[in-house]
Amino acid sequence: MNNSRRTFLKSSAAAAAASAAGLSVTPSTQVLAKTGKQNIDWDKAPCRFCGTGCSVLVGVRDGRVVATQADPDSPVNRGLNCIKGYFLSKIMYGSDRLTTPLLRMKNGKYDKNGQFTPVSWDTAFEIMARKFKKTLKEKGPTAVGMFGSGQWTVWEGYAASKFMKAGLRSNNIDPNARHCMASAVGGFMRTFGIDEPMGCYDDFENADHFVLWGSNMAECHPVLWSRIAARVLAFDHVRVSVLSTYKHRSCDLAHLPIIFEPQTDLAIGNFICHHIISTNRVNKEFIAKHTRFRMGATDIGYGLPDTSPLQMKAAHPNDGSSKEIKFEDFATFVSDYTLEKVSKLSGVSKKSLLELAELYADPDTKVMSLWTMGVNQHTRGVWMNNILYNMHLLTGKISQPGNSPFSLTGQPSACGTAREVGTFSHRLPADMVVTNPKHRAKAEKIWKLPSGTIPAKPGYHAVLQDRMLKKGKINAYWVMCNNNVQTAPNLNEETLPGYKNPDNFIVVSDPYPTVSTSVADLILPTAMWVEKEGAYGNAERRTQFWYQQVDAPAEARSDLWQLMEFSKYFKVEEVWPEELIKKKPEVRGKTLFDVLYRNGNVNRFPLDQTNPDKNNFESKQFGFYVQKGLFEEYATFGRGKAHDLAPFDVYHTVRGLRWPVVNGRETLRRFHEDSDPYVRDGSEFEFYGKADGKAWLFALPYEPPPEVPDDEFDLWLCTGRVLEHWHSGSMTQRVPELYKAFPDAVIFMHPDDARERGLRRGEEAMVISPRGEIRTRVETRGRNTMHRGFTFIPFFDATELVNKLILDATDPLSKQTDYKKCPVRIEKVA
Amino acid sequence: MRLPDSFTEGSTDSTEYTVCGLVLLSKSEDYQQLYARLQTIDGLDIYNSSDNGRFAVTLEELPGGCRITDQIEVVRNLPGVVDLSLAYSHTEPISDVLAADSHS
Repeated sequence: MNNSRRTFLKSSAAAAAASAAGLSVTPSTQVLAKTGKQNIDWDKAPCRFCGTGCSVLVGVRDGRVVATQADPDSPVNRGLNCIKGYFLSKIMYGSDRLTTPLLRMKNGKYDKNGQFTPVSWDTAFEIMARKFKKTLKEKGPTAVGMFGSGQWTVWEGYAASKFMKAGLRSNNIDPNARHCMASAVGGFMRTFGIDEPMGCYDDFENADHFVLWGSNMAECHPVLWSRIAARVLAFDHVRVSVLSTYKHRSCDLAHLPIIFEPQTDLAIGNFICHHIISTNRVNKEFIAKHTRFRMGATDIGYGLPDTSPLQMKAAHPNDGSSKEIKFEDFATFVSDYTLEKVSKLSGVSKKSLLELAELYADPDTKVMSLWTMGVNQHTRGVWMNNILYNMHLLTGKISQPGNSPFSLTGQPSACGTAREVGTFSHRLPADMVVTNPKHRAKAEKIWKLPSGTIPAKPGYHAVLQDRMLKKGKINAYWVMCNNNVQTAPNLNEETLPGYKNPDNFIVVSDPYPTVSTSVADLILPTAMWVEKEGAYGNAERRTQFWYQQVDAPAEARSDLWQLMEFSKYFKVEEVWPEELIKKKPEVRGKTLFDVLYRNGNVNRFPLDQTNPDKNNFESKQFGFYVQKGLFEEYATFGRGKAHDLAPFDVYHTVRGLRWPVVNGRETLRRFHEDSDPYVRDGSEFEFYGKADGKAWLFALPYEPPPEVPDDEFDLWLCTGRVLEHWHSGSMTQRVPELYKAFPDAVIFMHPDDARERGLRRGEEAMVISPRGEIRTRVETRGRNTMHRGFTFIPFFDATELVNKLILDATDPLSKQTDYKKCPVRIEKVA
Repeated sequence: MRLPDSFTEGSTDSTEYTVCGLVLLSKSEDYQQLYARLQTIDGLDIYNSSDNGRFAVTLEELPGGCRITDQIEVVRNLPGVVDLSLAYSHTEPISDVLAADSHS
């Protein structure tokens, strides 16, 4: 085949690649690449997958997304994408897309043991409202719950939080970001008193040394990894260190790959602090002016039920308290973490430990620390976040170009939605919490609700929701925009019993059939990504918008429409007590839709302000510019409070802006006078999340994990992601190219460990933990190189539910599960 | 979730044309050797490169040929490749490619 269409397409590919690589494009290629595009409409949208926030150009022809390209105008990805990003156009077109509500029915009626039967939206919401109302009447607001997502758009999370916390008056709403970012949030709040990174992606082009802690950026944040690779190749002095419990693709670029025993990162961090202090490299002026020291409570347990023997052994279970100490006390505390001791504990050579510590200690080396799930999915995840900040604060290497402790995000809007909007069970927008009466009063004022509407007690967090479903303490439950049954820990013992509990009514909203929908009582078909107008917030505080670009299939509806439409099925008198209604009698007789969304704020912007060239299904349905109204009401919380967002319309014209956006200017680095408008003149640094503007360093020890390998379960198991698939694979497994590239999960293990068990590469093995077992195939080569005693299984494959094996232990402070350290036994399948 | 049979059957490689634009990074000292290795890859054309280790290449998948995702993996694993990113991807039925030309 040699024809002009092919030549044109190749020219387009070549021109895009050359441009992104900074190489020249011949004029003839440019001309070719610009022709023939007239029949495709292109518009921007952030990628649907990880927290990097790449912008893609979405190509639509005849009402269907037919192509996606990296956005050359995006400051995040600069014309590059990873392989998942390139198959975005196909995630919406799996042949088994859900297109109508499905209710379990027998003999024409709802029956938990019935078969899934198509029903109308009205029937679906009728039965759903009946179940929620019955539960509220019999047991009150603590018996209803919702499990949401860091993949919700900003306004979906906001609408959901409002519906649950104010409408149903239940704080039992939590996002799946609990499983990925809660420890990062805990670390930020403890050290700085305000959430999210102070630095930004511009630091990639300014750092001298990149240190990855528990992060495989090459596979999980590949576009950011490309920026690091480009800097390493361009500058001889730039170095990369990778700390991990096994060797993965990111180690290929590492000058200093460090493989450590699970959980000993705590000790390594303390050794580095000790090294900085003992070699007299503390930035004393910075420390004196801008920090305080605290001694944290220790022996805090593992977030297990109070009756668990492991939890009962803890001296201070779930204790996040701390006491003021002096710098000298801190120095004495970390001096216990000597080179010899930490080398022995961690299995890392003294030479490597010293080399790493020197990088942090050297005042002339700009260090960017990057971390994700290895640090956050950790029974001492908050502590480890605190210790990472200790290293940067001791040396004053923070909030300056290239000096940047940077917590990477797993989901596209874990920051923008889950964290900033406040969809956690204890949170309200802009870092406020339900336990603070002033914060509740502010939310009630903005939402125009009577005082006392929002409950003061935090709701059940993710793992606790599953436990409460099992116990029958939650009976009506809505899962939205996630696949919890494939990802929740200890599936057989803690999660599945709750979904199957005959007293419970489980609703799952999803675009596709998943493991979670298979155990639901009602499935709601969901519109996804560019089938709706949306907004995400990425890991560097960048808020990005997109327009609806195609219509959803058949009866599929966005989460936003589902939430708002469902609220019409509740009269205020059915869900609020009389004493609350008496405080604002005008709400009597109204629906929750009227009170929450037709409140003068959300319905403030007329339909004619929507983009006339784009459809906006939700706004047309409800009769006003829904997304704008929700966003502007939400933005009220943060403006003037260091969470400033720009006016709604601005975001449709730019490739995102990093908050706080003050006087039209985004903020690259927070807490430094040069770039943060909230820092007072002359103070240089100001950590204004704390009342006195000082960041806190915490003295925190190494404590062992809840389980370690023994004679019966003799290998470590770690779970995680691979490049080709995202999370539980419900989208990427439906893209043929990605499915074929990595069709089934495997267990990566050392060839000698396999041989000792009579296993060879490709053979089937049984992986067994105290909680369950799965069958998978052995892989002894490829992208991950395992050392003796350590194994890895990705979690994308629904046919191999690796979450059966995982203990539901959490960080006691953040309540985030540890998915990285599970003792298992491996046997050959007979 | 395993793909439904109806979806896995009739894979794209039997009826579709795909082209990708890739950016490769290598160390400058590996540039010459990598250049030579890239020339051996089926469906790959080097559009432009620089001896500082940057390459802009295209990869094509034609009906009956190697799957593009497999070829990307082959390229990623070539000695000397430090990083691989995609800058462009397009898939359409081979019939559309041929039809466009019969009408042009």
